[in-house]
Amino acid sequence: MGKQGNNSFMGHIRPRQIMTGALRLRATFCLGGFSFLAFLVLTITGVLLLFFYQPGVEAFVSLSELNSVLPYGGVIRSLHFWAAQMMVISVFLHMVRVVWSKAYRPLRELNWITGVVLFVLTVILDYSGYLLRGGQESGAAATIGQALFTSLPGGQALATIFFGQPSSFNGSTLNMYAWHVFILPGVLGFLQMFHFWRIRRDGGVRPL
Amino acid sequence: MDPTESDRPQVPLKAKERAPKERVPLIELQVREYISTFLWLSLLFGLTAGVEVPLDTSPKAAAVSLSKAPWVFGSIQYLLQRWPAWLSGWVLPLLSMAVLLTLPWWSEKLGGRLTWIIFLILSLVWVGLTFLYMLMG
Repeated sequence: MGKQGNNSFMGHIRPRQIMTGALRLRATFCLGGFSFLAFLVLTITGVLLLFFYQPGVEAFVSLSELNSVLPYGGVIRSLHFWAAQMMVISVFLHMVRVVWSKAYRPLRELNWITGVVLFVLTVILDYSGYLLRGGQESGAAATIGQALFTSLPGGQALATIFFGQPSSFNGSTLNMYAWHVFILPGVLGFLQMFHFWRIRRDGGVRPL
Repeated sequence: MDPTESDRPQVPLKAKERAPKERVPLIELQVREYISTFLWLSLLFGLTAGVEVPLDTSPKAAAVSLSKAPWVFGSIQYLLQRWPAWLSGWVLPLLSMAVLLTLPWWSEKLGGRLTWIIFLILSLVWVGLTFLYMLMG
């Protein structure tokens, strides 16, 4: 890479020098960084799970084979699960820290809104991952979500777009798979980059 | 200037002893990032090794009567079991989200302290409901 001046994206995210204030643990408690780290672990383990997992009627069988037969399959699945739970918690705690330190106030309101959207997306991703487990519990959770959508005017179409046609015994569908694997993480990844860029632009400490 | 003075190794000051606006090389932050990353990954691997993630009940098994949500939606599920779906599934979550999104403007109108209290109440209610769901089902 060429010169990392302040005008380049990398120079913006990773400047050669930083303010001493950014070194203090209390500035961020590393919570934003932990959330991003969780996202990275989820991306890596998620890609590995993609090689074996099959959405739809085969979801439960492929997951139980992955869990018990495939070498390190259970470890990768566990890493994926725990990283997801840790991401939800760290994003929430990050929000608490931002409000506590009043870092949401103008001129940073746009980044606050981005952060709230990121939190909502993280929770929806966690829910969609739960549905992909493909068992009776996921079927029950999908049924509840579907019922909530269909209670809205015109909600049947929305429910079909998001959930597909799950049964009460299996929440895993191709639609949910597409949302969980491609659409939601793609939007989340893009918004995270925007979030990091805005933190620096708004004059905040660089994210840990 | 005494020539021996510049040859003497400089002892780096601790972060607290420096002025907050003073500039330092990025490596000082990177060291802290590496330590936090190591600690976070240790916790993740500890959880992975120590707490088993169960599979769901097989779809081919005898039907189990379930009304279950993942813990992140436990609070909504708890409300759904008690109040109408339109209220607990849509109005209350969307209202809470609207309050969160407009927090910078609340701060302008009401001041930082009151905004913090609003945020705290909102968070405690949702986190409390999540714990209620997890403990009581």
